Amino acid sequence: MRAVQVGGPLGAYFPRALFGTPFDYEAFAKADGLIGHGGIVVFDDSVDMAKQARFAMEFCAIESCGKCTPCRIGSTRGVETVDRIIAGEDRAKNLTVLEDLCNTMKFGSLCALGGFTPYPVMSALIHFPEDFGTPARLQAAE
Amino acid sequence: MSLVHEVDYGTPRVKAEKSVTLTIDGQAVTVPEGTSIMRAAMEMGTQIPKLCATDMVDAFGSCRLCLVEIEGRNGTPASCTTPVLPGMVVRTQTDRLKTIRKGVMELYISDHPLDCLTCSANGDCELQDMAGAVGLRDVRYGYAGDNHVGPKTEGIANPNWLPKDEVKPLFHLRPVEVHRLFALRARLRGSARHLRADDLGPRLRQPCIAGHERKLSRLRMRVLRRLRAGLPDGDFKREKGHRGWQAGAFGGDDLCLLRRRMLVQGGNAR
Repeated sequence: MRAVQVGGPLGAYFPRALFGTPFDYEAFAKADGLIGHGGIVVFDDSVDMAKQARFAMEFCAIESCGKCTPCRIGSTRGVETVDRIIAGEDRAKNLTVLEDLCNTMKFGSLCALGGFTPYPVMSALIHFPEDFGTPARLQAAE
Repeated sequence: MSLVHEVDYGTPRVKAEKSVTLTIDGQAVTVPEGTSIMRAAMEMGTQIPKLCATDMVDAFGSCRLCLVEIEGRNGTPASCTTPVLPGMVVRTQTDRLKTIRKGVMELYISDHPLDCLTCSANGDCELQDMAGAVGLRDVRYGYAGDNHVGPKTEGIANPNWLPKDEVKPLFHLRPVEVHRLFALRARLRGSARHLRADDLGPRLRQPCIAGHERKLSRLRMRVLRRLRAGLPDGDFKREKGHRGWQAGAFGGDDLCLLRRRMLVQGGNAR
């Protein structure tokens, strides 16, 4: 077992180290996660977290209604940026872009679809940096 | 263009007997109850960055540039859709807001042609103004991604009469009410969302078509021609007996829009 996603497709991915988190709103919010609809999805060690981050952005792009910009354009740009990271193009730069994009979407979006998409993306990035092909930087920040 | 610019307060004037006093950026301001924060700020001379709001139509809250911070409230609500409350303490310029606005603007521009220097809007463009206002310097997403910039040629209805045309992506951020006046329709969802003129061509020629619809078709035709010629997109006229702004008759008051710098997004309407 490598990761657990709680709260649906826009819930955060928790690594083994956080498996002890009590199942309540405050504790999850503190760990940058959410309880959402309460569903739990378990991933075994074959999961590629970069692909999961891409999936979150793709999900948002498909579900987006198109009214507000962070979600309408941001999700599409998010898929493209994660693709570039997976392909190894300019990784350091694109990781910064992705973090900034997540910040824009989280605080700029009109509704919770765009606002919560950063949860799975950022949690994958912070807890599973090795799947994004680098950085010790994020691990150190953790 | 050297036209006199009218002040755009962002949201329509509210008439109310009660007035409300709040603090915006440390300055007290009193406005009628029900006024938006954006309008209250503009009344005291603080222009909050905005793209979708205009005082001719009700607030829509889609552009996400006018976000503000309110003491005691979570997150960053849009100032155009948030009404004032007594004793509210609002901040319109903080580092956090700057970062968000810049991020949103970067997204806008990543889906917009880079032709400011040759664009027929010629400096009279809200998008350009706002990019400057939020301090956007470069777009890190590149321009290879999915966008609406390229010419789209499919589905020409009647080339001699009026091509079905798509306009620059920015166009769809105006409230739906405005679009409806132009007989343009937002199609699809998500990043595929765009404005498109409905094809009323064959129907227009039918004798039974309602006069109103015929008028709208002509108006739309005219709007698209104007857009393609690099002119602003429409004429508005306040008609008696109607709430708000209605599509004016032919030869209506174009200056009204020009003065208000509504959507001077011309070019050849890609």
